[in-house]
Amino acid sequence: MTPPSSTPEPSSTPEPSSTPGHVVDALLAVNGIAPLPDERDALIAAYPFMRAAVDRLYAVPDARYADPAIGWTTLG
Amino acid sequence: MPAYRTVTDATAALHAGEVTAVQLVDGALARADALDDELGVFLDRYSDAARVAAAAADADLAAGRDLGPLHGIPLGIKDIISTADGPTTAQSLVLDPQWGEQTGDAVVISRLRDAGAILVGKTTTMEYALGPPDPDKPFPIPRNPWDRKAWAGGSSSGTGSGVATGMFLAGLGTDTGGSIRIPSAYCGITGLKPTFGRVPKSGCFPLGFTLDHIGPMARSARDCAVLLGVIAGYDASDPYAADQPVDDYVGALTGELSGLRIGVDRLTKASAGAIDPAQPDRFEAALAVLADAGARVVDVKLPYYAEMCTVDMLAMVTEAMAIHRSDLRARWSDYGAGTRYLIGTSVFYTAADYVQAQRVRRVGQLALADLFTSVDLVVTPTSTQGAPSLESLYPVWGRAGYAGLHTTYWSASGSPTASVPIGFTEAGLPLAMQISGRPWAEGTVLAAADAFQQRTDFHLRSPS
Repeated sequence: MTPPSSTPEPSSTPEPSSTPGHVVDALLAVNGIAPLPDERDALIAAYPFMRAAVDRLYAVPDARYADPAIGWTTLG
Repeated sequence: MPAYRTVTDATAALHAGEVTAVQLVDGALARADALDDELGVFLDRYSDAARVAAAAADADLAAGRDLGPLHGIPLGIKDIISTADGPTTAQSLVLDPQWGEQTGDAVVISRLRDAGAILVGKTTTMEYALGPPDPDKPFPIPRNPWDRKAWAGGSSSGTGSGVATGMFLAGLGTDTGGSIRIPSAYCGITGLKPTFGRVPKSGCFPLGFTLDHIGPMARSARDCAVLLGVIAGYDASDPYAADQPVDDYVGALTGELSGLRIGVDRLTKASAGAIDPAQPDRFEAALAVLADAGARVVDVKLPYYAEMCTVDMLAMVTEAMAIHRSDLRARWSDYGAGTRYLIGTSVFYTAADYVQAQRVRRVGQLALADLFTSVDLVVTPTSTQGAPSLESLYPVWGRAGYAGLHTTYWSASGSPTASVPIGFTEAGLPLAMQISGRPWAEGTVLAAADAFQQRTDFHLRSPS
């Protein structure tokens, strides 16, 4: 099915709004947190690496149908 | 150093009439007078109350009222565990003093008092058990007793360095990502993170609800067994407390490991080069001692190592954000720089990420349970390096100070894990191994640690 002409084509080039700086600024704003400038810079620098580590959790095949560990029954 | 380095020795001397509880407490307080300013062990000392309690313990023992092996023994308590004696600060300017006042004695503190233990004071921590020391805040910097320019480790910093220097014979720490095992390793003492749910944590200010553990820190595994026997056991006030039978932990210490299968993962690759030159030989020598004690040592690979470490960090900072968001919004600068930065990283994660982390955690726990069908224990390094310099902890968003640490895996798994001294770096700083077991198998973990310590004396060495 051909998408409507008004729908933008997916782009492989990140939009300016999706740079780590913009994303982190937005996330901090959502949470109402205002770090100092050097702290903000450090958070922006850390974001891609920490985000990538968490994204890898979605690549664990055995977790595809797993329940969360909140109930602790796995401890026996 | 004091005449009695272990709880076990001091208890024996007390019961033999060779020493009094007042003398033990006076000795501990004298050590604190001499060294606390330099090492940053205490946030608050209960000197007068401790002396009164010691005199009462002596009177009880003289009258034949013996409350057990902790009766008359001086202990230090990490200052995120509430006590009725004085304020609980969590080493923070932010914590409302009313929290501690309303909480009074935590369950573990009530149990220690009922066993006759004497609290000599509240010990330094990282703010809310997270983040490196902040020199700009009005709290002591916990320095390592083996090298004043190095960190004591955290977050149960003061309990670790206080035991190592004889300011008390044992104490309590808490562990969410390694906070019992790290200072135990860096200060050259023994620490036990019990199974998640083994020790009720109500009355301890939370860091990560699904990760927090309270546990003993002492010179020896035998002393940890004594303390665990007192503080373990179900209490309905903690929704995570497990209704599991409490074993005879001291009785499990036979000194003999025949028939035990011990898996070993050296975690060399995961250390990413952060390995002290002396660590590999010290670690292999420790494995040889366990084999000499009768264990069969085999190589294993911890399942989902990287993923479980990510799970621990994500769950810890996310759960902490739920607790602290309102205060962080209103009082960002009142928090320590490291604490606010680390909790601030939680904004990176979504609600789905948190759930996914808990799903992967279950997968990791199940895979680990499968591994424990072929071995009884797993041994790993606590850290492949000695204590880092205090300087290396800054800037607070740097990772250099934490390189070589291998504690978070066992926090996410919830497994009982002891940190045991195994020797020293080339610079003379303590090194340690972790011994981990199946859920609720603290007795087996402590038995292996004790068997090792019956054949070595690293846990009894003292900083000059």
